[in-house]
Amino acid sequence: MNCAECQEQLVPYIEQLLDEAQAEQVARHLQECPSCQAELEGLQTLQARLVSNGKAVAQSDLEEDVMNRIIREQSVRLKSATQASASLRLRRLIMNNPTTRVAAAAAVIVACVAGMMLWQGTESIALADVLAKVEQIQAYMFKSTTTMEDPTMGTSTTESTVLLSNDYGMRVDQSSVDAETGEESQVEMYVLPQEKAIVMLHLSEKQYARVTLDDATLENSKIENRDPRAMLKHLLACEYRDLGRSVVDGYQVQGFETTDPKFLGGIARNHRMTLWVDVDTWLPVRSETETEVSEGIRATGAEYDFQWGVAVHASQFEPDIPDDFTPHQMNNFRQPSYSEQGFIEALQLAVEFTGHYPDGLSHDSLRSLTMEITQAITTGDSPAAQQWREQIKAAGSKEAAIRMGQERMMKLTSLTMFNLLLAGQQKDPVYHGDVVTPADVELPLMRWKAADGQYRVIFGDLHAETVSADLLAELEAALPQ
Amino acid sequence: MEKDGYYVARCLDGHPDDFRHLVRRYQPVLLAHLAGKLGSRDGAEEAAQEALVRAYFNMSKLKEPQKFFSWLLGIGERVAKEQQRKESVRRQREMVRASTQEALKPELSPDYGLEAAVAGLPEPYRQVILLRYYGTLSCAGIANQLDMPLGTVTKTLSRAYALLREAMQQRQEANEV
Repeated sequence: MNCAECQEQLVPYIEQLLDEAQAEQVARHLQECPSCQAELEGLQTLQARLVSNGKAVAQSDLEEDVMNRIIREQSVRLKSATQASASLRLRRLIMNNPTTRVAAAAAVIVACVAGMMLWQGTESIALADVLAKVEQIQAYMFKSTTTMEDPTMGTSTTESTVLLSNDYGMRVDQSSVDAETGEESQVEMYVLPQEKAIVMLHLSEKQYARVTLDDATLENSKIENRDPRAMLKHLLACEYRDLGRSVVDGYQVQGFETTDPKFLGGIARNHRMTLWVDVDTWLPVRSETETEVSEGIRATGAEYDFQWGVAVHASQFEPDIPDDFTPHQMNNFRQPSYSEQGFIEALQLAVEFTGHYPDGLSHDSLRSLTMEITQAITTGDSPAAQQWREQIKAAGSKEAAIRMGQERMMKLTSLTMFNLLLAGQQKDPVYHGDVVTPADVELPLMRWKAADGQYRVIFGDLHAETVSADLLAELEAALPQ
Repeated sequence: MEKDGYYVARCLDGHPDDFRHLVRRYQPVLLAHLAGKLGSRDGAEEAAQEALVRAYFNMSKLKEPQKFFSWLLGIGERVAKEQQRKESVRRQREMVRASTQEALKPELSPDYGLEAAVAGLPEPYRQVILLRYYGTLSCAGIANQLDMPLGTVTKTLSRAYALLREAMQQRQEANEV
């Protein structure tokens, strides 16, 4: 045995992993070779030091302290969790769904347009010029940072770069960091209007998902994105404050602020949006939002680094799915329909499980609705609940069951989304779920403007009709106070 | 002995008491690792406790339960960084208050040289040393835990020893200069 061979065997030798013959060979070489002997002693000294340090460290016992802290914190968390769990479930559903995330991204665009229209209140700025300008912009880019705080799910921060093009659609490069674990996840998202699809690449998990959009939803979002005028008018209805001139990110700007709940269609409890507009170009420079979604759940965000009128190429909007990516559980998911039909189906779902309509269409109302439905699914004895439980059992796998549940619960998001879309289109939606029951065949549950002097009405028994404004007035007069 | 994934699943199933097993299994390893990072035993204990509690409450985010250990070390490192930041702010304040250049440093561990060298090892050497001496696993135990052939474990250990001796040698020389 030579020295190199011997040194290679030293660790197995000390660890007593060699068979007798091998150990014998090493021992013999060591007796004859002082340098290998020295190497062995060096190793043994280090090992002894490690062992004694290991013993010293092992004297600390954290077990009881850790377990006590966990029990204490858990009881605190449980209190807020029972209040928040249903809303969390819904939020998870929403956050897991690319389309609803897109809706969140779309809110950013709304915010920009909102800012533009806010100027109408000041004499110095001509809204028509701004609109003309915005309509000429074919593609633009900006960055955004959003922090979500949640008592049970912790805090996470998402940074995105958003690229929008009238011709190709939208691309978002997003990375999120969980504040407690430091875990990072990266997502690339493509909204492709021509293909009626959203494609997401989860880079860290090496997964992809392609989600098909419903025609009605796509049509609605087209209206949303292509007619800023409609949104401008809608947003003009909000109350706002002029913050005057100042300097932001190096630009001379004028600031505007709104806390009007109408701005988010009444979904959130509290909302504040501040927008800074370049006084030379009349284009947004920075916007900041602060939203209290519901008890304890807060979101703060900022949009900045706007680049108006950037050059884009079709290839930037073509998702490239690497060969080793596998389908995400949302792959081939069907986006719920944010249409009259989808809205009615969501109301049906609510009634099947709870026997009544949700009080309102805010996030808080949806939260109590999901809580009630969840309760009904787990313990309720309505035919719908029993059927659901059987279907879950029959699903075959945990994944299939989760997917089925998600697809159904996602329908509920139609309640808020459809209402938001209508409000965004200035269609004057009004919902009466607090007083109308499934037995009220003659009473209007939900209504919105269909055409001049015409209203679309969904009645208590969920049939829909188009009626004149006069008839609607009569119908609404019959509502219980 | 059950694998980590089993206890992770038990905790997620609503049996918080089973977290004990994971605490017992990893507290010395985590402590050694943090002691090397933070330099003081007290700081390390505080950070290890915080890391374990955070790990428990974030368990549902752990994507591969069998990787609990390296995930836990990651959380530990993050807590250590936060603590160092707080500590440096505290020391700066103290310096200003005492108007002296010499702020009070916390007492170092008795064998800080060794602990710092271990903390400075690159992966996978650090993991193997931590598991062998602080997690008191045998080489076969490490092979099982890390899904590594036994030969690779001894080779990694052997390289880790060399790196450790080098690091401690350099430290000593630096101190002498």
